[in-house]
Amino acid sequence: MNFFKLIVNNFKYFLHSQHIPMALGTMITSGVLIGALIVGDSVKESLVNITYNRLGNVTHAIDSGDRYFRYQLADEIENELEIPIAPVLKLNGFAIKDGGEQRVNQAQILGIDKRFWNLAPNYPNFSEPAQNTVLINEKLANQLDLHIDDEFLLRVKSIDYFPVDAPFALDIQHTASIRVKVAGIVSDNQLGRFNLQANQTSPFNIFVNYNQLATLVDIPDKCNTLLFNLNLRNSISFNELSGSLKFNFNFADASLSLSRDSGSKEVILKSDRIFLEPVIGDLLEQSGLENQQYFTYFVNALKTSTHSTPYSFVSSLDTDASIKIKNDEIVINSWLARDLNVSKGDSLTLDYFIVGTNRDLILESSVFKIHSIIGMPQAQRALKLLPDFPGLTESENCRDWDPGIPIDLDMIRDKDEVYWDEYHGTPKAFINLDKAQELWGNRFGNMTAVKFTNDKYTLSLIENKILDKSTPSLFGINIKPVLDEGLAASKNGVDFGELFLSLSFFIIAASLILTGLLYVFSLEQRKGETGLYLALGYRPIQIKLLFFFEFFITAVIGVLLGSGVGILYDLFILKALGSIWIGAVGTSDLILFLKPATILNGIGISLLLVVISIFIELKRQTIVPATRLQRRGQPYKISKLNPKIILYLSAALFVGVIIILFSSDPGRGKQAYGAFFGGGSMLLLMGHLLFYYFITQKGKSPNSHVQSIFKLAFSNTGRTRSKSIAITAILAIGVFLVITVGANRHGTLVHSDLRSSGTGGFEYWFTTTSPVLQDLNSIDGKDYIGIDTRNDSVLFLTMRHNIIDDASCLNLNMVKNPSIIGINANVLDSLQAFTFIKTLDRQHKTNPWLTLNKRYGDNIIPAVADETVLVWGLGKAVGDTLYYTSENGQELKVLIVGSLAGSVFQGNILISEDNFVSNYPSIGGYRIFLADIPVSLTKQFELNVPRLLMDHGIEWMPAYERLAQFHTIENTYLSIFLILGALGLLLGSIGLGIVILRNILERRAELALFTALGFTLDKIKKLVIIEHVILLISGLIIGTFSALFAMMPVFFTPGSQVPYLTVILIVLALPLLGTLWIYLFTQRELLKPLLPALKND
Amino acid sequence: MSVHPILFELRNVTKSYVIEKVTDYTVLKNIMLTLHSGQTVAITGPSGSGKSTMLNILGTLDKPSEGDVFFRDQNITELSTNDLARIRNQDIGFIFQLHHLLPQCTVLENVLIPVLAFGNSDDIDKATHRAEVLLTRVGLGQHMNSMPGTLSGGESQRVAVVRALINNPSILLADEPTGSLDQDNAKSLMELLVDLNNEENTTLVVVTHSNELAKMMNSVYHLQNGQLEKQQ
Repeated sequence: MNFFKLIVNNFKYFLHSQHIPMALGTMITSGVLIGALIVGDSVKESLVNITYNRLGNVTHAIDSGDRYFRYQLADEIENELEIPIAPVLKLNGFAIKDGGEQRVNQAQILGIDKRFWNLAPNYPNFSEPAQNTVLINEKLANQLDLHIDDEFLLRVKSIDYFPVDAPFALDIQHTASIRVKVAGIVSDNQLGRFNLQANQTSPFNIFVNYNQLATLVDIPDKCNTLLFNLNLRNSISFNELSGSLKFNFNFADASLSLSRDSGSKEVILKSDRIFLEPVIGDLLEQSGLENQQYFTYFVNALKTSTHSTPYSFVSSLDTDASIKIKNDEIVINSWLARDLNVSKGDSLTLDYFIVGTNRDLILESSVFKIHSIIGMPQAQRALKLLPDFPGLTESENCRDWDPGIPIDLDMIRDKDEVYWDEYHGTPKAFINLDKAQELWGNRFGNMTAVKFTNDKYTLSLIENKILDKSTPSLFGINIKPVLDEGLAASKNGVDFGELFLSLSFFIIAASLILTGLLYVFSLEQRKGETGLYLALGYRPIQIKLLFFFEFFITAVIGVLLGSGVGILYDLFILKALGSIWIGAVGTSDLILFLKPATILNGIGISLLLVVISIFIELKRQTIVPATRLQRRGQPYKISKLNPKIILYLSAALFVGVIIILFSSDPGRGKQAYGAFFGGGSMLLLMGHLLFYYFITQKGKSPNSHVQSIFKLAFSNTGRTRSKSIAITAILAIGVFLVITVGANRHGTLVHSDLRSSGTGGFEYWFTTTSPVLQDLNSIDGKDYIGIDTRNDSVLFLTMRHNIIDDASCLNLNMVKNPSIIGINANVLDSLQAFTFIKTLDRQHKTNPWLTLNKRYGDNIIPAVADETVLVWGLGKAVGDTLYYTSENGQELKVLIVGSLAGSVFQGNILISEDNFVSNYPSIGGYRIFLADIPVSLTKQFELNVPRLLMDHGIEWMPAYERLAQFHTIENTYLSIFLILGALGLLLGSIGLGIVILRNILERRAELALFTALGFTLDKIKKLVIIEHVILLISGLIIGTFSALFAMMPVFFTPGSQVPYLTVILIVLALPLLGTLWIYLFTQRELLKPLLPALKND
Repeated sequence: MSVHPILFELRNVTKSYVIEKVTDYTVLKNIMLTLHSGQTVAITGPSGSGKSTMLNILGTLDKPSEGDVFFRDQNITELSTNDLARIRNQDIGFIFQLHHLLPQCTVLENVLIPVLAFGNSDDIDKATHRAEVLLTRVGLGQHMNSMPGTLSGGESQRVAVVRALINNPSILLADEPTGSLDQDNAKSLMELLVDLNNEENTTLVVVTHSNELAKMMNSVYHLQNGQLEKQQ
């Protein structure tokens, strides 16, 4: 005989009666706990898996957006580094099937060659798509029900190197369409869900022959994306790749061109973007190259008080020319002098358009004094400096002009046509460079041409000298470690482990209580054994260890079984997340991932929890004198609260509830939620105090004789009041929390008409794939989208969008740089739209939007974001800084100056439009819109706008629906909490049965006495059942009524989504199931003969 | 005056219970009792007179509210829980009204359970031999490997007696040891206890209602209203 044998004997003897139930309880607890932890791993691993799926073997990428570089750049880097590279022309477009009946407006069009598939996992057997055929991904195939050999219409916008917001840019973008045949469907693991954005949702991908796409959009031999795989050759570092990019990067990649004038041998530098970017000026200075800079502009008129010459080019003079002029002087050519009949010293007025921030044309004038008149040959020398203004310089005659500004062709005279025929775009006037830059300089550049006159300069020398001082990032060409960033985003994303531990709180708590009760019950059953050991001279620690090891075996078996249950629980959760709870994750691509460390953690935590509950009970038992342990039915400690204090406290709480009821308007919104939740909690406490009062006072009254089984049962609840109140409290608190939290969902219509709401009071939210260049608030703009131009109450908030990563709760990845929206802060300020939660600048508390216009320092840009995005999406707060790179490669410090209450902007950060356009000049036009439409025009809006903006790839919805999309996630979490909480409550009701077993065990002698006194067994059962049903119903009533009070604001909120059915089911299922357990356990325990208990005592 | 050394001594032992912070109920009042080695003592008295309480104080399971308890001239009221456990294990044998045998262990294992508390493997080997001898002595040699559930009440109580004797205690404390037995078994058990007292030279203290049983002891004390009176 030894301790081990004693433990084994004990274990075997109590296997069925104690260890199997305890092991099952432990299994459920650990199963739920381990399952919740595995969910975290599974979601995280799924995101990692999605990252590998969306990037394939791509480790680094250049995504220059609206800036295009040479397709051959890929070949040059590939030849130098011998690493797999794929050039891609990545555009947005639409897929239209069945004549427009089915369409996808926001598809990712990828012009690829066969090298793209070298970057796909498993090297699929795809090659470069043939002309007029495409490969599509599964998501698009499913969306449009496309199969191999099916045809659909592919539509993309034509590309222009010229920024759409620049002066003279055309305001109409042409679309190009081709009918294509589906040659293959690319699965997700074949790079079908290729996406450079860290997001778990797959884009609609269409893979097109590169050459065909580049030709179609009119940018042959250009692309905007390069994909690299540096993993294949570990010897190639990121720096070497950057070095190779810099080495091979040339002027063509920066949209620059050098040409030598055959006559003068001068070298001219121009840009495809018309305006040479401001950075060129800096580079020229750093290069030390001798140069002359020029600015040429197209003016509306050159006029005197009596004469006017329409539509002419005006250029700047050579700074080292023999003619020196002041800022207010102008040099004109002889043709103009004749046309205007002016001479030296006369005044001359220039009328011209400048372009405002939101593409609005502002007509301005400047007056000059004629300094001198030059001959036509001299003026013609400036022709070679003329940039290629779209719609102008390539025209054969003036009447074909189609620039991006309004032209009145009637103003053009015959002699103007003759001039054009003879001198083409030869400038008619020349002003000082400084003056030209002052008048017409813009964010796209301060010059239009550079001339190198030193005949020693070769083209390559000029190019090399300038590029030596530059980097590709100055021209928006940056290499990003997309794989590392993607993996970091997926690994640091929403921690579903923690989330599901929280959401499973009730089920874990309930199963833990249940398991604890099983262990406690088992130990209590063996109280006599503990007493015997004490009497036989065992030290308390020995007894503890004896029971501990015996129960530990059970705990280990239970936890091991629990890890299996945990995997099943995980599968259940993943299945639910991929289907009924898809709102929480937005993807069904979740996979089961088992991480041994997590399972071991779960096992460890479960064991620890079980061990703690064993130790607490063992400690409780062995501190009780052994003499008492051998007597049954003796409560360890009897204590009681003063009844007067209970009544005073209850009265005080009741007064508090009444104050809340009459002072708080339940329809007041969020503020009311807190007040009523507090009131509900007070009711909960008051209910328990009164319940305690009644069960303890029963029997004190002289008239409270036991007259019925029910009264006797009620008296009995007071005898073990601590246990009674504990049972009631657990049930009531459970019901209260599950209902108030789980049912407290966001309504979709919550005051969405108010300016302070998350919609800003706007009716519609819409986005377009290709930018809208028109000012939708202008008459022309409204006309463009079919909105009644006479109605002044229509308001559009037009926004610019730099699409980077989505930081909304719809994206599970933790992104570093959310997409940026450029917004007109003044409009929002005048509307006092949306609600700020926090602001950095106290001075602007009343006008928080205006902080976006404030200057905080060089390269510091103030920004606003949703509080949810800041806290959960970015892990930041107001006052923190995010780091971005501007289009010209400068580091931007984006300072968060304010946070918004849940708004339609979730997922983005908002900066002022001025800051947006100055840092991202190439991202032109508007892609996000909020529309304030009077009720009378909503039908017109819904009919015309989607139709007329169809070619822009419009996606529209009522603004409150956009808000509801974000609420869907929160509501789904609440649904999960409600369902798991309800399961927890039902599981917890089994605990009630175990409590009954304990009570019967402790009171066997008392119940035996009833038998001896002539009570039938049925009556005794009835007594026990009623006694416990009283506790069950009391807990339920207290919990439900307190919850209903706490939820009053929800009932008063229009559009709130209280899951009445689920709540009713919980409220009904709990007493039904609880009563069933009470009945079953009473039946089971009272089947054993009671009379021996009398003998024992 | 006894020639045997003093084993236990209760000096002015009082035991009170406080119920619901109001009633102070005194069970034992200034009890004076001296027990010598080898002595047999019966304590009688009506129900609720405090007999079991006094036995529990002697058995170190309970502590007096006032007064001192000396065991071999050592005041044990000041000892730690572990020291008391050692005395209980090595020097005291308990026999209860119910046998309290562990149903999960065989007869022999039940007897050996006290040895596990402080013994090593050598002790267990020796104790096993002693258990076999004692069990044979009490007529249960055939039942050593039986489970308690197969034994009669009298047999079970005899196992409990052997369990109490296994560590060769100085004193046996028996609380109504025959209370759950029929007359024949009760008589047989008492004879066994007296015989074993002679053979093992242990002090025997029996709490009983039975005059017949009490008469078998050297001394009889009567406990009533908290006072202990020597009657024989």
